[in-house]
Amino acid sequence: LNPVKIFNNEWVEALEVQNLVETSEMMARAALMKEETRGDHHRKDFPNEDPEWKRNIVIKKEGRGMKLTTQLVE
Amino acid sequence: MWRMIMGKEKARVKVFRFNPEMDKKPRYESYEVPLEEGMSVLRGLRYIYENLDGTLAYKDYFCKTNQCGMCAMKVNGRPVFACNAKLEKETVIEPLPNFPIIRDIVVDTGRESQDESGEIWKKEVGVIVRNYRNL
Repeated sequence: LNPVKIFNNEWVEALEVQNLVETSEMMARAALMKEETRGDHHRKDFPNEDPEWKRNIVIKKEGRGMKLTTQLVE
Repeated sequence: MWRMIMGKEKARVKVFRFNPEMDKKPRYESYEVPLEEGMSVLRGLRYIYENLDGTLAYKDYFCKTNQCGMCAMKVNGRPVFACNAKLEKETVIEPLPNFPIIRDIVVDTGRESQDESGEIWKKEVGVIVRNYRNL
């Protein structure tokens, strides 16, 4: 264990793991929800762009989990 | 990756170490880093941190393309960007001069640590850019 309090990279990396896991889950869930192909988002099972999906996915923290909703692109 | 670095030449890297929390004065620590072709100083530092000494403080977020200036430090006496500087067989790594030391080779380049106009930062980076022009 590295007990140093100033600029402790190992400590920072350990803290970052939680954020990495959360961000990964957000990306995976959003990608699964978006059932179309658009820009850099490619889905083999939905190979075409869908005009219905001109929407942003909004993720909110809810309790210990997260909730995904969509809103129209203005 | 492992095969590439096996049995290759090693670089002797001396790194400036100072923890203002506990140390009265700085010291230099030596590490042996297996040299890879075209290896940068920054990659050498990352090798040390990941394989030899996790207590080493260095900034590991950077553009890696010689632009952002985050990895500015003194290498073999010259201020350089470590992402672009080649790791030599004998390399001494020190913090960028004229900035307060946070720990080891990490310095405080924040606004508070500089004069109002940011002249020190401009001057330091200017020196580095000039060094590259002279290469």
